Amino acid sequence: MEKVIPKWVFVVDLNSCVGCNACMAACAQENQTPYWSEKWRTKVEQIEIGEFPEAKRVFFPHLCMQCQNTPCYYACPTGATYKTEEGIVLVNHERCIGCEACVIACPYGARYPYESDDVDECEKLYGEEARHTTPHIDKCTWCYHRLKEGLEPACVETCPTNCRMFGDLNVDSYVSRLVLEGKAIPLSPQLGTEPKVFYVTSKETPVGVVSHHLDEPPYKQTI
Amino acid sequence: MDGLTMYFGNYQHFVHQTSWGWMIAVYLFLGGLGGSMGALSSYFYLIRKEKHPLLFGLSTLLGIGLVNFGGIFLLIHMLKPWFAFFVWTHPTSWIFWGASFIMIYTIAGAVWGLSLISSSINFPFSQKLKTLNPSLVDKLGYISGIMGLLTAVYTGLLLSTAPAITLWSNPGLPVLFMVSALSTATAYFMLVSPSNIAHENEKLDIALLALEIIIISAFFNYLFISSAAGKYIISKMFSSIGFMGFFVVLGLLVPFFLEIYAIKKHSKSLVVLASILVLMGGFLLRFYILKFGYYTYPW
Ligand code: SF4
Ligand code: SF4
Repeated sequence: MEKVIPKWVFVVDLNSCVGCNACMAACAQENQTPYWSEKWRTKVEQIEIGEFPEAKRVFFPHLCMQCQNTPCYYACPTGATYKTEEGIVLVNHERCIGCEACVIACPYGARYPYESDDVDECEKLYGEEARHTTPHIDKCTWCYHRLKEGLEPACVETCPTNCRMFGDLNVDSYVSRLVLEGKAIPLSPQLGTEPKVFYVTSKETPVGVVSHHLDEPPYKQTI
Repeated sequence: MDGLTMYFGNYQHFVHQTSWGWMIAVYLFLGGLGGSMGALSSYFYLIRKEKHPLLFGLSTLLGIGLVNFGGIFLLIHMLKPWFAFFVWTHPTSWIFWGASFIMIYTIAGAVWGLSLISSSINFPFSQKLKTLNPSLVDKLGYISGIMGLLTAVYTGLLLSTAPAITLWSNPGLPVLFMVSALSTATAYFMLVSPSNIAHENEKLDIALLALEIIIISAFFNYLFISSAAGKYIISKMFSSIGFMGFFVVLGLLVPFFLEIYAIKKHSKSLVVLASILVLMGGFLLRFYILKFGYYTYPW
């Protein structure tokens, strides 16, 4: 029987993020990311809009988009950044020389340096279990090690409001329908990166892509 | 977050890139200057038939030295420089090509430069180099010149692979870096050449500076009309004393007019001043292009 390669997609529903940051904590724990240096594989931006009494705060989770057309992969001279057959973009820690060409190339701020101080701290904290034993550029893997075991990414499993959802386009599901019916949309599609993270927009947290809010009055402000 | 614009309910954050700072600016500057020194040496010696083997040989060797010295700044910026040879793995990366251009330039330029100077200076291999087939030596000179020029262009291509950085990801940047690099190398030749070549170089440098002024103006135009990010960047540029005062005025406009004036007055001291300002401008251009590298994030 022909092997079916999963077409994994990630959906973020901006209507339900409450900014609890449980996803960031779960990811840091699962992937030993250097939270002590304020570096994260996934982040929830807190954006303040407007002024009192109209002021509000909105939350915007983001992570590696696992771009189909992959700027970080093309920019990497050493082959440390590579793609699995399912299209997951990974970094070979040993091979990475830390030139940061990929950091510059990534349009979604998904990469950061795991520096030698961070490696020392990781080894101190996790001892023999430490998985970052050499300096490298780090990024979200959608918890590839868990996906291979049939589990969801740690952030998805942890998210208490189901704001983060995971699915396979080959399988009919709520998640795949959100994507295939165009109800969830990618970020910065004009860059041609073909991201595999899709956002369900909300009136409260509009996304910087094709606007769903043209009924709102046009306004512009620079902070 | 450095800046935020909101329009029609959309967000864009403009976040300053912090990965590449002044060390990479030095790398880009020396790569451009050193590469162009080799390119112009080959051009003057092989095409223009200026018979100054010692000058062009030494300039190529110095150019190679500067490019490789600049490379050290890239290396020390890396997390694991001792594995830098891995860069010859993945040809879709401009670093792969840049490292290749530099390596070929270094080898071809070193043999060509040393054989040019071997007639005037004695050193361990000089006798051997004198016996090399002249047509082979010329071929190496052409290869050295082309690779030097490609090294200068590469410094711009390296930055142009960042799709979310408006100032970098455009086809103008490699052209700007190439013209600026040739201009800095011309400034070097104005400083060190005998008067007839220095005079020719002044004319060449005026043309290059004029071209650079046109390209910079076109960049301003592009930034102003292209996007919200472009407008944000240009507002930052115009409010930067360092960029406007030290680069645009002192590093570009003043030497341009100084050289026009110096050519009429045959003033060597003005030429020296203009050359130093051009070299300073060349570094500042790269420094500020890195400084104004803002990502546009869609949140
Ligand atoms: S989001 Fe960035 S790190 Fe992730 S695949 Fe795309 S370019 Fe690479
Ligand atoms: S930092 Fe590492 S992963 Fe990134 S481009 Fe350089 S070698 Fe590749």
